[in-house]
Amino acid sequence: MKNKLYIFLVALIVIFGFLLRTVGLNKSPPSLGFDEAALGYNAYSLLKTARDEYGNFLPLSLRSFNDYKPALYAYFTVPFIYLLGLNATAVRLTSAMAGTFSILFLYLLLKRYLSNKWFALFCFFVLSLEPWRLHFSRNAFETNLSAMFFCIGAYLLLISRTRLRTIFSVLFFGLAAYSYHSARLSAPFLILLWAIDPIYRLKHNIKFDFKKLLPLVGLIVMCIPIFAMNNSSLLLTRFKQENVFNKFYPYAPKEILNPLSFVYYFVGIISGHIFSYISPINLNQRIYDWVKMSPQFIPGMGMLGWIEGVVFLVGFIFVIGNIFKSFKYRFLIYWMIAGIAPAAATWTWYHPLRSLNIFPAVELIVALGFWQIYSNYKNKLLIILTILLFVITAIFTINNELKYSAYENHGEYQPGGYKEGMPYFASISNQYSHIIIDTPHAQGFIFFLFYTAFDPTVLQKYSELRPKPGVEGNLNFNFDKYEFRKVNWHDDYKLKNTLFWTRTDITDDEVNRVPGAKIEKRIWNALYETASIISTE
Amino acid sequence: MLFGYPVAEQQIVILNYFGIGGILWLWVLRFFSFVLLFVVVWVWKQAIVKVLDGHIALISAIIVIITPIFFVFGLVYPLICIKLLFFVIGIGLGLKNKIYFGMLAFLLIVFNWQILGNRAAIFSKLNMKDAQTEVTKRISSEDSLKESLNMPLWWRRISYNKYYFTYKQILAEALPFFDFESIFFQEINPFAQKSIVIFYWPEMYLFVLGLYYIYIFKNRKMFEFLFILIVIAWIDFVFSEGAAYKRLVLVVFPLSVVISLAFYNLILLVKKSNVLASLAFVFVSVFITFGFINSFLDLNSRIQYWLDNRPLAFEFWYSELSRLNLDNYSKIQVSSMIGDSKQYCFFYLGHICDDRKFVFENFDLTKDKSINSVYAGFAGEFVGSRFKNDIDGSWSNNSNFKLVSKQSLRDTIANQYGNDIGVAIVN
Repeated sequence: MKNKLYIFLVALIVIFGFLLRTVGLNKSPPSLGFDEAALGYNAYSLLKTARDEYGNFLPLSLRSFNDYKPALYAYFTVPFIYLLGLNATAVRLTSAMAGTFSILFLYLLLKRYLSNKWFALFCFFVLSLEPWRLHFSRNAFETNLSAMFFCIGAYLLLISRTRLRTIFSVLFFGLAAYSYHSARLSAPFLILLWAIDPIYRLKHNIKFDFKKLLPLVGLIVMCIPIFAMNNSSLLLTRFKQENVFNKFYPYAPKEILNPLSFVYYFVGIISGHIFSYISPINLNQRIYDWVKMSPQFIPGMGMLGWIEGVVFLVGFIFVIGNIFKSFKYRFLIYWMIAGIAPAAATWTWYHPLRSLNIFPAVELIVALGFWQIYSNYKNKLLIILTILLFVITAIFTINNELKYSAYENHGEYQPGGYKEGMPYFASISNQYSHIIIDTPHAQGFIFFLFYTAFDPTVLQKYSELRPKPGVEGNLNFNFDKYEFRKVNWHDDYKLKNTLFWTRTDITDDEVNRVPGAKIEKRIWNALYETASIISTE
Repeated sequence: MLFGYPVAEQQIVILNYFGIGGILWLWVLRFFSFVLLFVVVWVWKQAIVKVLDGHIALISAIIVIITPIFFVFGLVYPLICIKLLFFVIGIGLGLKNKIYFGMLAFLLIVFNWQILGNRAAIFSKLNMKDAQTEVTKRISSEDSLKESLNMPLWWRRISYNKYYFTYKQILAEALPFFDFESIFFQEINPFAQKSIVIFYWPEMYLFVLGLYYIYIFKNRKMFEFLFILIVIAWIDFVFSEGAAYKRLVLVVFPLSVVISLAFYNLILLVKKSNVLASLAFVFVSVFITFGFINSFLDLNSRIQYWLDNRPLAFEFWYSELSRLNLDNYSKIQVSSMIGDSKQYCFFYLGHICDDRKFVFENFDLTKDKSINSVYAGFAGEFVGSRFKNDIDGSWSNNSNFKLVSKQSLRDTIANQYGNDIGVAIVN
């Protein structure tokens, strides 16, 4: 009976998790970010033409904004777009499904690390509702898909007593590498650490079995096409933009900089990047500028709940203390190191998106921390209060993610208004010979393409006109009758038979003064007026 | 120059209490502060010997001594030195009877409130008013969304209520205690926050290694000792305000034990000719030594970056005023925007500050000015404040006054009033 109840509760948490990740994806977050729109439109293009927006046939990397996004997310999104059409729900469903599968493997991992199954169930409930799990599953992030594959790969590697499990582990790590850049370093690094087990070797002088490197070779072979099918220097575009040398100086004082202090500060910065992922305040509360100004921002919360960040420290001490006792504890440290490595090589101090692969390991350490506290202080009242507090915190997290974040996330990266206005704009655009779209965004064209489900075959014809690979910044380009630029109404009102998508500060009076000009519609996003559709005869 | 750093607020309070001033007395006070700190370290070392090995106590004492904050406290903050003395004496007594630990925590709260004048934010959270305001704001923000998921109010109310939000706000005050960036990485802090280096970053590696030793030694007495110290440091953090290094100062003591535990065991491994341990030992020793030297050079060369700029402003104003023949003017007005300028006046100029022609108040020369007067203040007080604090360097070319001298400060210590300070005459 107890067993049935247990299975029922596990299933309930999974179903609840699935619903939380899938309900109302078109409303919360209210609008797509440009990376989401790019993934969606490329998936649509692949569905219609088997080519990306530039006309590349079945690419492994999407050129997109010249950032060469791994293409796997787009391929996984194709069936959803086929079934549901090109909309936010279809684009985000891949991430939502990945998030749901990911919690299944979280459960399996928890069972490996916690002997008390009811306690594992409690941890499963708490951890499956962590802010990062909800947030990253409700946005179209390639990294969330990658993190799911990475988690499965890590789980299979941990239990890899048979050749088949190891092969599957490599396969999933490969899929992770095809889904997001950071896994291309993290996955081979984790396999290498798993094979060598360097911490164990600190104490034991054992002969190295070179056969253990075979999975690493397998993974490298599996990843060759990523680099072979693309110009590998272009694949490193993102790294070139973001590496640690790029923005080193703000942290080191120029006044005392010399070769020796350069080494001191440089090693310090790299160390700081690494340790920032175990700094409790970063895990549970602190929000860095580069996080706040991006779609990874979770209002008022870190990746983990507030208490979990501190409990992580307890679990970390336990793991460190038992590091020589069992491989499974060393494996968590290897997992952390491998997951942090790609993020540590970039200039940002703490970057959840680039290190998403580590968070299941972080959660397992939190679970071990909970277990340590529980086994030392078994006070019934305390347990009841703790459960109550976690249930309320889970409800707060759900409200925060599904409702409140819509209010907070109307920044640069989730501009809004396109979803509301573009279908109407598209419906009347065939009546005009010239269309001008004015957006404050460097890649504003992607929202137009996405929300009008623009025919990819037409777009692909103009790929030669687009900014060349390597170009950064404003990637807007003009094609056919479409022009992407700032509207200057004092001059542009003279244009005949033109449809404008522009900002809201052009007043009714200014438009009405022009014979034949008309404000077709003022567009509101979830919070405020954000665009105007204006036409001239 | 670091040793040329002027008198600071805590020192002014003490010197004026005894009715003394001037550089000589300032250095006497600093001498006592440093003596006090050496007593602190000595008492601390004695306390550790009761719990752990004498070698570890010695290493811990050295780690405490080499932290830049310790030096800065001696140089600038005599009252914090007294607080540290209370702390280590309390620890010593607590080792005999645990009730003293509780009394120590209470005493620290009182000390922060009464002596240091800290008005910790936590007090304003406890009456739930802030929480109620936040709940109302959150619900109305959500309700203002034109499109969102429909969630019934009763559901939202489960977590959107003043009790849960008070808990949330208290956590927001308490959790920044676990801030490794401020504790270990202040030299390269990603926020470039105004704080002093607490530990050099290579000590973070020793800290992690120390955690390992704490766990495997299973020394319950040591564990409890460290746990209590961290809890006391946490309480002190929560009931204090100000820069991170002042709030986190007590954490130096327990963490120095963790670090010294690692360092001592590393030495033992080196003695056993362990190659990796030897490499690690060389790495941390060289880097910590370099960090120590570098940090003091840095403190010396970027005094405005690391230390409070307010004493520098007062020093500038009064040194410029002392060069003028003040008898020629009917009014001398010094801004009080960044502290009690009268107290500083006594230190720099002596009892002439009691003269009625001295006025210690903020001013706005664009609205009100007296002729035949000297004014010392921020640029914004001479030419009017700017909301964005964007007062350019040409502010001094103004016909309203004749500038005697001006100086630019690194940080914004009087927002909207510019980063320049000056002394000017109105004829």
